[in-house]
Amino acid sequence: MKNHEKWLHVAAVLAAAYATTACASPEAKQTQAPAHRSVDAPGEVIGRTCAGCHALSKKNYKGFVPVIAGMDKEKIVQKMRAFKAGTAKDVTIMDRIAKGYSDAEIDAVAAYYAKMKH
Amino acid sequence: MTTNISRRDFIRGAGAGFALGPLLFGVSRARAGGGDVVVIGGGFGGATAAKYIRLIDPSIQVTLIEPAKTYVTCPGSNWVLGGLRKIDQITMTYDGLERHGVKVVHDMVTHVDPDKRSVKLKSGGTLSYDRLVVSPGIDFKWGKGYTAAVSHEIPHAWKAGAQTTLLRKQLEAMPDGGTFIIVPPNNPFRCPPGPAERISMVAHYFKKHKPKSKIIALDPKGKFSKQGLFIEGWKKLYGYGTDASMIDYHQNVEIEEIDPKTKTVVTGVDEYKADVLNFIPDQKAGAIAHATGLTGDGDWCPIDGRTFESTLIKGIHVIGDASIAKPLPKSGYAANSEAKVCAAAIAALLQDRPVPEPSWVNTCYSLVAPDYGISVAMVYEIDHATGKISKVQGAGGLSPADAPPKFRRNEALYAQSWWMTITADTWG
Repeated sequence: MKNHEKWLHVAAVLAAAYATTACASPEAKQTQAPAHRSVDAPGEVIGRTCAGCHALSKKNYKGFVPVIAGMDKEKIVQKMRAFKAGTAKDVTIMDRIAKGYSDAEIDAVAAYYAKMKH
Repeated sequence: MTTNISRRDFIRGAGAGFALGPLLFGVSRARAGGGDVVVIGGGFGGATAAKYIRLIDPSIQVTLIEPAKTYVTCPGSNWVLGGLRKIDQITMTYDGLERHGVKVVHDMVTHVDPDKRSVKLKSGGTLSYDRLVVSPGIDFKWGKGYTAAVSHEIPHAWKAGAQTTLLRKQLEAMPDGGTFIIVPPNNPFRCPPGPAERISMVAHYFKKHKPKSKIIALDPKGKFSKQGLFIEGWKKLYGYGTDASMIDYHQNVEIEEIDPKTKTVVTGVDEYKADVLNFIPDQKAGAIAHATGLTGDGDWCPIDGRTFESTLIKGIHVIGDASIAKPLPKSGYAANSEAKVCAAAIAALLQDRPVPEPSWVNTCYSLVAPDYGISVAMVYEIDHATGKISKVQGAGGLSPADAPPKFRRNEALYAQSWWMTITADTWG
């Protein structure tokens, strides 16, 4: 190994260490999952589509759309069923969206959000 | 051992927290954990994909390559034109992605090698990948007298940022009584209701500050997104359809060419001279998609809706405006939704597990005035008979016509909430 290659090797090891440190931030640690974490838990795929409008945390949130993360499961189910049936009051968009899901899907999404910490 | 990276590049890379191991030692598809994913493009699609791959499986190394240090969102850029927002209020940074462990590299991919599964960077480095996500957005089809050089004088403002600022300055400088002409593009294009929201926001600005001014739309198409709702709003707010209408919307216009010097639009039957001209060219997938062969013979990238993997090149996923994902529209929310499906598929593929059943949503708000919002929404699924993305029967649609003012005010509030949340979900 030539000198400059040695230097690069040492530097690469340092860079790798740096990268590892950077990844091991508290945020990254909290999301650390086993190697075979399920990617298709019930409600997860559909649940992710809600997060474009419904913030996942009340912290610093100044919007007008309700935060559903951590909401009681039954409350979410009842709301969604009312939206779907067209019986909810003061609704603007959720009546149109709720019609896209089966009762089983609504249950799964409600369970997904109810478990979520916010 | 050979290396194509200079010491200076290396130091710069290390400073950015760049994973250099595979790069320096040429270890192809080294799997320290769950694999290596490279994402090209830091817009709604690319940023969401990078973040969600890390959230779904933190053992996957994700590198996002994006030349710009900040991203100005197209949603909300019409609000800047209307004077409702400043450009810095719709400008995102990449710090949030880095907190999720995404390695953000401000560089440009000059070449993709699908056989070696590697990308070459403008600065000289090479990165290998197990899965590549290409989210380059749109490029323009220059022509009819409108070129890249002309766009510095006559903005398209269809990629937000300096172009938005330029158009806003021109509108501010225009004297009262002037004429603003907008030429919307042919289908398909980014943000279908965008031109009509732009007309609304400029009308709002004129009504407040330059009430003698006129807006002329010269649209090559016969209809536009949310047309009924926009026209209802224009009638209520901007005198549309009366002699005093601020807006004059022409459809099925044959655009022959523009004369940039005189800001004149030449159509099949007439010539229209503007004080401020906004020409939005026809569109195609971003350059790297074409250079890589992801578009085939067309303008956009065909994909398998279950994974967003290219049907032309294995191992490469194309999301956002560049992909053919219809009936999903070319919108920021759709790109975010596609990215999440793509992220879940990539995590599954890297674990050799079945790809989960996808689901998508698009919600799209437009402001007709600061307190007057309208929306369209849809839920999408895979049609298992055809394998194609399709609308869920009975779901979605436009907000109702003739809704009371309270409804429109709520939709305007939700539009602004939408912007806050979708941007936090994408870059936060």
